[in-house]
Amino acid sequence: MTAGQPGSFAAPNAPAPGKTEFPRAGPAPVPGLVQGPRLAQGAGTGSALPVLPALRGLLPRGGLARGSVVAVAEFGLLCLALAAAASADGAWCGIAGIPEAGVLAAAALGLDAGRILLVPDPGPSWPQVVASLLDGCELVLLRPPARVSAQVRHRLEATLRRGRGVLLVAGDWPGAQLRLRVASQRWTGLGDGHGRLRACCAEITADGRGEAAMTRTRWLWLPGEDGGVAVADPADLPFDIDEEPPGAAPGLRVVSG
Amino acid sequence: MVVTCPDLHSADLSADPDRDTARRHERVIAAVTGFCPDVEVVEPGVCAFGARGPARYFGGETALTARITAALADLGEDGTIGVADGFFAALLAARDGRAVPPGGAARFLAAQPVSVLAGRNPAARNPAAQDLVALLNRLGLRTLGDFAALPVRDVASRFGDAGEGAHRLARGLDSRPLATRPPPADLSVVQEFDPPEPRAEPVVFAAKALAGRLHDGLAARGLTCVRVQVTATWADGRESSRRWRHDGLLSAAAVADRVRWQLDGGPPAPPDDGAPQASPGDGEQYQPGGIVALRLVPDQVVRATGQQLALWGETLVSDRVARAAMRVQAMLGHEAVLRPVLGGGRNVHDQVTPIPFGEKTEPRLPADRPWPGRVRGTAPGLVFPAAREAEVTDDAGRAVTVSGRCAVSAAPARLAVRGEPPQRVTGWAGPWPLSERWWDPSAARRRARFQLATEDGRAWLAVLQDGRWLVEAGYWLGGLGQPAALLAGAAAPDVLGDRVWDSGRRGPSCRAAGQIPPSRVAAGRDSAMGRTALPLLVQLPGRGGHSRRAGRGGGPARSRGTRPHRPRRDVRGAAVRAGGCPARRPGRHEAGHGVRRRADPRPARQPGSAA
Repeated sequence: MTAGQPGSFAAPNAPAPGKTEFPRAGPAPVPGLVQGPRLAQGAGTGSALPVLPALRGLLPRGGLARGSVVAVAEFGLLCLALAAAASADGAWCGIAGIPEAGVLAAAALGLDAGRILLVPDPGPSWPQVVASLLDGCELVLLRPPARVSAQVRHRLEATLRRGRGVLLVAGDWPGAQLRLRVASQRWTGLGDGHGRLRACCAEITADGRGEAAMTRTRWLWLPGEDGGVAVADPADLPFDIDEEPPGAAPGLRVVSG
Repeated sequence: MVVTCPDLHSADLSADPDRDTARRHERVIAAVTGFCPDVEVVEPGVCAFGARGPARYFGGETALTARITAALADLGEDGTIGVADGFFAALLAARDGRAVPPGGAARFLAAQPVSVLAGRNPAARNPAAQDLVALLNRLGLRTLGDFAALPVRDVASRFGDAGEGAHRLARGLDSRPLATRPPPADLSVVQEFDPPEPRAEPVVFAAKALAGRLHDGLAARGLTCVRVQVTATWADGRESSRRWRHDGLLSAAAVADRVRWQLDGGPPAPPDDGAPQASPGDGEQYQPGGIVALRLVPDQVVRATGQQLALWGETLVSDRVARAAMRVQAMLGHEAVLRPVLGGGRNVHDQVTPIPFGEKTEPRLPADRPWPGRVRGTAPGLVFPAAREAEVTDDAGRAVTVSGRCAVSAAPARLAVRGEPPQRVTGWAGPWPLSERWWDPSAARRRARFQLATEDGRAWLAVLQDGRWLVEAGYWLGGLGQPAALLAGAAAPDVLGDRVWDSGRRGPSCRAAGQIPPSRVAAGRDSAMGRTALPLLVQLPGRGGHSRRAGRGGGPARSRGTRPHRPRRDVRGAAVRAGGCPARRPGRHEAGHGVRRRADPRPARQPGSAA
């Protein structure tokens, strides 16, 4: 299961390679370099935008590959966490079509609120809006409308490859190079009439195409007790993994065939 | 020269709910300003100005007095005018409308009783004046002349400061010169269009030059403005006026952009008839008659101190970002692109202030206050723009209430957010009461906040206010097979089973995929195919180069060979064979277009063969 070009991150259904420029895969970035301090503006020139250390294990290159589409099943803290490190590193983040994005939570995860552009209601011309945002921002978080025609998707993907940005889709995007999903999540800290939400332990699953074809699953504290994101140790979870997680619907495991 | 209007003077402005007196007063001042620009407004109904210049211009004090009286009479006001050397004397002269000849002020004042020093006049508003007048009367000094005859030194030693000031007034020496203020220079710029301009482009183009003139005028005085007011006047008298704010100086191009946005809104609807309004976006139909004038007025003019950027720690908007944001603004309007500013506040909505891109970023509520009573801890990842209605019930199905003493009627057991299926509550905390702005009836609110965790792994910030449950925010990471995800899965074109990558895994799409197989059986498959094929037909003409390449057949086949969807073959192969078609079939909708095109006729053929 490899993409059209070995190691390429371009969509296999892209126009013939060689005609358009799209980023070739470089060697896997050294984690220390990806996270290194940089001047504001232009979050690095590597082939991937940095992500929080705890999320690196989920992504094939330890970061968000430039020019790629990353889809998350539904908008939530995970989308914001994915954008956090790049924003802290100087990238601008556009958020289109998500009026309920919690900027406070985003800031707690590490996003720089001063480098966020919100377009709560992009309207029917959302592809143009997203293309414009991709020109200015390295990271665009988008919730597309329910049905996106393949033509619109291809055009946006072409824009994406030209601009070396990353499109983070909260929703369904059939051509996405990487898809993330929250398999289960459980909040801790709430009792029966006492306590408060303190941390959330979640099982995140990532898969996709090309390099990302291998399914990766990680248990994360998102957010942890200190507000940050940390890798959770399955042996140290506050509940039993084998117990049916609260978020899993019955019958989910019957998927063969 | 002093002009008084006894009506306005005696009226109590604070007891005038309609502001009618204030408006009349404003009209009087405007009328007087027409004769002399440097007017000091002393009190309501009293204004003063230096008469020498205007009197010479209008042909003498008498002529000037007559003109002002006539102007006031036109307004329906009844004013008296006094002329004398010095403000105090002129004020007294205005009581009976006298004109004291030059040099005659001392004689005029000498005849006045000392009680004028304590009268309701602005020059002697010293509170000690009443005592002084009573004392002077007891001493037998009945007129100002008697008082003025006393030696200055004796008055100062006997009556103190207040007495000395009164003595100066009595001698015809004013305590201070008139505090007139020159009117501010008119910094606005205007461009008139003759004949009226029906199209937007020339107006926008003129706005660019106009903004350059505005900036030149401001810069020549060392000033800058915080806001620019743009006023467009249509030929039929309608006017659209709006203030645009900016964090720096609005460049000429930025002003032109704002003029365009404003014109895109069209002229305001006429008050009398419902003439059709120009629809936003089409710059060709500014009706009726077009624009006759465009005026830019600098608002909130401040001294230009320049802008000092911090060495670090400050977020700069690069040109690239600004261009992108302004392009979106040009498409959707000024308020469509927002920059969030973190501020303070007790509710999740208050803590972030969205500010249109380009304006000064200031939070609505300051962040550096303690804000007791806010919900502490983890911030919610989703803050719903409008709180969602919900129902929270206990085990018995009764709505959960909170008493005035903040006691919960029963533990919440079920949460039903409108638009979503009810969920069992697995954990809850609260109530955290909040009584805010009780001194302001319009903004006061009493609410109790709860955090509720539900069985699907999500958590909610629920608020009980006025007996209603509202969900203000949500705490969750992502989809767990919510209706939205289900919908997305069902709506995805590749329903033919191209979800190989997510089979064998738990997750929302998995569930979505799990629901698809029924549609894959013979009858349903046709509809699924039809849905897959139709959009593909439509998209072919859009990419000319691609369809040509697809026609060769080699390219798509190659690209299809590299596609990771072999395991699907079995499923589809079987289904397709049942329909009497060869197994070679793309179906995957990211496949090359040419392949899809070859696949197109099949769904049309299949219904018959399947039946």
